[in-house]
Amino acid sequence: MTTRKMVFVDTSLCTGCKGCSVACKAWNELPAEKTKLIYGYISQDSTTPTTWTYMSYHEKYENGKMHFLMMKHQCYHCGDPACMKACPVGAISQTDSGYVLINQDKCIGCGYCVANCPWGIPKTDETKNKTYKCTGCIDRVENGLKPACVSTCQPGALQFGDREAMLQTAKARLEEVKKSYPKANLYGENLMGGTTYVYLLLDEPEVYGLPANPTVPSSLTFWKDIIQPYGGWLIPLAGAAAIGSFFSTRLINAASSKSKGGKTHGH
Amino acid sequence: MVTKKERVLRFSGSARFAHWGHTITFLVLLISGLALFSPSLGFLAAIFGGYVSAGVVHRVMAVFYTIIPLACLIANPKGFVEWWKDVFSFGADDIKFLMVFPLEFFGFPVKIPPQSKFNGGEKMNSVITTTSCVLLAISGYIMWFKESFPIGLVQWSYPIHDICMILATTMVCMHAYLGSFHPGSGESFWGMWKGTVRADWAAHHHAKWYEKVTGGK
Amino acid sequence: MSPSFGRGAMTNSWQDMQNSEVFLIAGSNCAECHPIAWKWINRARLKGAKVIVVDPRFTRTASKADIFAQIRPGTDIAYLGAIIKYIIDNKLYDDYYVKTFTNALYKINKDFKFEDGMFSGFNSETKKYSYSTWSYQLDANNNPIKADSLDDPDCAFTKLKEHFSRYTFELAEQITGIPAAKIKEIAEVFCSRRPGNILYALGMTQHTTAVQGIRCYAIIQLLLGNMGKAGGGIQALRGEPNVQGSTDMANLNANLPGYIPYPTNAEKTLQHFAAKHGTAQYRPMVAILKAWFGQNATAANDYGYDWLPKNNPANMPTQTQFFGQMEKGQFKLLFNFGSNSTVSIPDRKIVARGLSKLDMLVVTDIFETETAQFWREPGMKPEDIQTEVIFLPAAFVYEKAGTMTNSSRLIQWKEAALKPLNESLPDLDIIDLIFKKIRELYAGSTDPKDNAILKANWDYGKHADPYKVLEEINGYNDNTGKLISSLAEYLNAPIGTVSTGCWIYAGVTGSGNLANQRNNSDPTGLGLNKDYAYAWPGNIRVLYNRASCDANGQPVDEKRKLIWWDAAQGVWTGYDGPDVVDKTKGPDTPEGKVAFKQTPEGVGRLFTASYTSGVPVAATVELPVPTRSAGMTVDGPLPEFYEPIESPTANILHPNVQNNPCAKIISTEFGSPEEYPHVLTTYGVVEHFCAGAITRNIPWLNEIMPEPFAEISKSLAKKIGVKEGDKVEVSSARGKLTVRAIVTDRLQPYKVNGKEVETIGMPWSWGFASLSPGPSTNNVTMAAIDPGAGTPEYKCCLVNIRRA
Repeated sequence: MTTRKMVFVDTSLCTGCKGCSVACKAWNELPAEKTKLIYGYISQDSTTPTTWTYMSYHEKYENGKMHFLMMKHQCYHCGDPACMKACPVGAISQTDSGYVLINQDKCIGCGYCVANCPWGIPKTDETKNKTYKCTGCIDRVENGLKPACVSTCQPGALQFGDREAMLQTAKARLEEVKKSYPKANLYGENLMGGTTYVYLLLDEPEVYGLPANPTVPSSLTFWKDIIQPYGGWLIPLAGAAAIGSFFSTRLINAASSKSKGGKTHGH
Repeated sequence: MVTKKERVLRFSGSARFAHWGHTITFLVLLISGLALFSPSLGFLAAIFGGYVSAGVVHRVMAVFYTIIPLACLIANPKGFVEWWKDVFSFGADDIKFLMVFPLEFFGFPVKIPPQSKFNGGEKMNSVITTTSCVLLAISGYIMWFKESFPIGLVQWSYPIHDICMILATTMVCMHAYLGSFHPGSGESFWGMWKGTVRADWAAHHHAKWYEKVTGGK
Repeated sequence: MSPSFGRGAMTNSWQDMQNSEVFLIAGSNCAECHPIAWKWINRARLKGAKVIVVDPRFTRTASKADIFAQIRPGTDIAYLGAIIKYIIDNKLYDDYYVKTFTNALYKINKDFKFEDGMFSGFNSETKKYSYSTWSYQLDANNNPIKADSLDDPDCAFTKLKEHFSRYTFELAEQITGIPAAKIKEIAEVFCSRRPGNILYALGMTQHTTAVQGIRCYAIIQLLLGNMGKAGGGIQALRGEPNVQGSTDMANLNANLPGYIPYPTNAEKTLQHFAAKHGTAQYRPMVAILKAWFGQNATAANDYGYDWLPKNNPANMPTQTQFFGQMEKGQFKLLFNFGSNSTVSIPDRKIVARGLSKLDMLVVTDIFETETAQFWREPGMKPEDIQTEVIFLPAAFVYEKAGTMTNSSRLIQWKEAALKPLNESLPDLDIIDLIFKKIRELYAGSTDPKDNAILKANWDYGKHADPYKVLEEINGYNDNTGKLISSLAEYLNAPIGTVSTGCWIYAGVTGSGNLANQRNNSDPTGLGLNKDYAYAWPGNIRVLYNRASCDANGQPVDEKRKLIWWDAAQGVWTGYDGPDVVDKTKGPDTPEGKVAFKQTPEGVGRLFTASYTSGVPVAATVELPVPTRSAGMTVDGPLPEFYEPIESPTANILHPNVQNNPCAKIISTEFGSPEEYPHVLTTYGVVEHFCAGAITRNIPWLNEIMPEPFAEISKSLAKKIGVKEGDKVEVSSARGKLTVRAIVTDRLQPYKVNGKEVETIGMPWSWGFASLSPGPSTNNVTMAAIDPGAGTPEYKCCLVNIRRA
């Protein structure tokens, strides 16, 4: 059993250079997409089947002071991944190291994971009928390398290591950063069963456009833990009743025709 | 007293087209969709050549599944109105029917109160099936075009689609059996197949309706 | 920096930034444009260092700053002057340092004057200053006379104090738009934490007052005693990975490699050259002639000095200027290696006009740049252009071996990782093939002017070997017949017995290829990394590090000690290479006190006086040869604020002298503040590199930065009825372009002289060709250059903006 890994995203050090985006594309051999500026320096505002990580910028001007926040987005690799739960074909699995992976051989591109990820990270390629997302560079990590985004990050905003040790680093850093940013917080430590990408945010998650308390959707729990395992039995039950009826009606009929010499129901 | 040869019209052409069109599309949708309901049913996808083609079939069928009843509704709105009028005129006799139905279902001799065009059971089936099917269609389209809907709606569409599928399929099992192999059903199948039923059967099973259509002759 | 310290290079290293206590980042968006700098700044921040950012925009760098001030472009000298005044008024300067390591006490010529915006000695015809009054009072031995105290009315310190007495915080606010309280806060924070580090890049240099802005930095750092110390210094973040290398190899038209002054037609013989520039330049001149002409260079023929073409000071156009000369027919042929002038030159229409008049244009690049197809630009008439254009495909950086010298003077050797694609060749091969062919064509010529080609020492192998070039640069010792083993060997050898192609690189291959060292260990934790590659000069990582020691030669900062005097051994030693005149001369000797050995006075120059030191030492020529002359700031010995060429306001310091009187103005169309009320500043973005020739052909980079834009404040957007994402037309007297608007709080309107002014920010990396074409911002910029450095004023001009 390998220990759980973690990437610590220290947004207080991130300069929004988008180097991680390019490193991700280069390592994973993903094609560039045709983009335009959406707003500010942003040309990508969500993941796509071929964009697994992207940068967002958030501007807040308060009391004559500018806050220009930036963060990288990618799959969080949850401890309790909703996508894995939603997948109807068992294509999504979780490694001991905490990585949540889509087995492309099994994936059918149904998009159930897409709809149930609290951050909307996985994206389906409708022509290939496959769903894609960040792999956490599992192919690098399993061979002793850091994920591509981490190894390219020059300002040192991304750090990779064992989850326990990284969390210690993150907490120590949070204490330091809180002195200048009182609203700073760790995002992901306990969310969704504890994520593999844990963020040090300088402001509340909402400022970054993030859900404050992402959870496994209750619809998903209801669906996967109640409806599918138990609800489905209603159908065989009905079938069984019909079969029972098929025989019982005929048995009772036979018995009564013996006694009365006729049928109860006329035809 | 009616003779055994006499027949009365029970379902119009459009009603029968709607019924059988719905039956076929529902069954294809069911089989192509069940593969995703549980991994243990994954083999069903193979019938269609895999999940992806099953998905295509499911979507194509879904279009027919929605068009057929809508087309029939437009072609023969009167028939639908009558159907619904009858279904929603749920009275004491219908309740009585439902109370004795389980015994009847398993073959125990019971006294059935007089029924209208649709008996209490059929009324219940109509309500549950229609509701389920409408919700199946709506939730299905939301899942299909999920980018266009709020994420919460999409997320709830998945369990709703499944619940409706379960209810509708349960009803289909009962309905199909009652309409075919249940000893008391014999003529009802022909009602939906040929459109007419034997007058004596109608008088016996749907006395109120028979009175109404024949004017008590 | 060269006039202040003697060397014109970044004083410390990238890694050294981790040692700083405070940073003033002004004129650099290093988090974006120099991410490696930011990596080390972050390490200092993690240790508690404060970051001050002054910029016309709230940049990605500003987002990490402890203090940010939005400044009107081109007005840096005003607030820096106020900081200098604050340091002097509050006696925050390092008294010992200022008296020992600067020319503060040196008495200035009594005729030196500064009146109504002009220094003494201006010739309004040539728009040049005579340096005669910008000089010291000298004693009989040609040594500057020193005052006893800083209060002496004649001393440089007093001149400095008087000069900047006008620069109050309030005046600075009027000029820069930065609130006076904020400037005071910057001054307090920067002065209260030492060592303090100053970083700048093109934001400071692309002005008509470029050199004087950097002079302010030099004065501040000398006053605070931050020069020569780990974590201190002034870091010039160069615009490209090998710009330092190209500057070292003389990309400026007044230099030869190693910053030897390029001989002009006034220095007809080597003796004339030696007389003018002193032994300090005579020595490397002979060495470079020996490197270039090999066996043909002998004492008898002045080492081939005659063969070297001479500059004509009356006609020495810089890159921005030579397109105008081209249009007038001065040039027939342009060899254009890796430069995309069609996009990068300000008021860029002058480029196409010039190129159209050439007989032939040869462009060597890895992609077909805008310059290579200038005639294809919409609006050009190819049928009227007679220029023959030849494109030579070049190898990419990873396809060729050689060295790159980064900003911290680190010469790094690299091997080719890939084979060049198709017919493309490394630059060296291209030049080698062309030169060999040219020499073949000139064979047998007796015309003296062809000697430069015929006598040249050119043998880098059948396929040119870049290592052989580096060995030539390193140089040989005739006495040993071997490569020069160290800088000291070059400096100590009799003149005429050693060759070197660039004397500051001497020693780089002396004991193996030191540029190829890759030992990354850092035992001191100061980021010296002495065994990683090789830094010129002599592998010194922190220049002027003698200034980090006290009168006894001991480090003043125990935590950050670099070098010290080892009295027992009688030698300067330390973790870094000691930057001293002579390692064996202790701190009690005159030589042992010198921290700035490349200046004639041996000290840092608060006042850049005209001075040539010394009396003849043993010279091999008959004429008396002084040792060293000072580098000069052509537009004044002290920095003075002048408005940019196009400015929204009058110069409130001296309304009669609005602009730098020495600035060279190339553009011919100018706009008034009434017609063009807004200030435009231009810059790069992290996603694209310079003129974009490479990066606009990389799809992944186009994806993350697909198009140019204009950043405007919310108030300006409201005024012109524009919202985020709308197209806007930005126009100046010189041209216009249409781009997408970014409406942001990161730019705010500000008050200048009581008038509200808006700054518009635009990146400039786009052109009409490539995978991701876009309009060029240099349609509208101003072609006017700094008189000293020749850098154009890209950073400010007047524009108007409207909804497109």
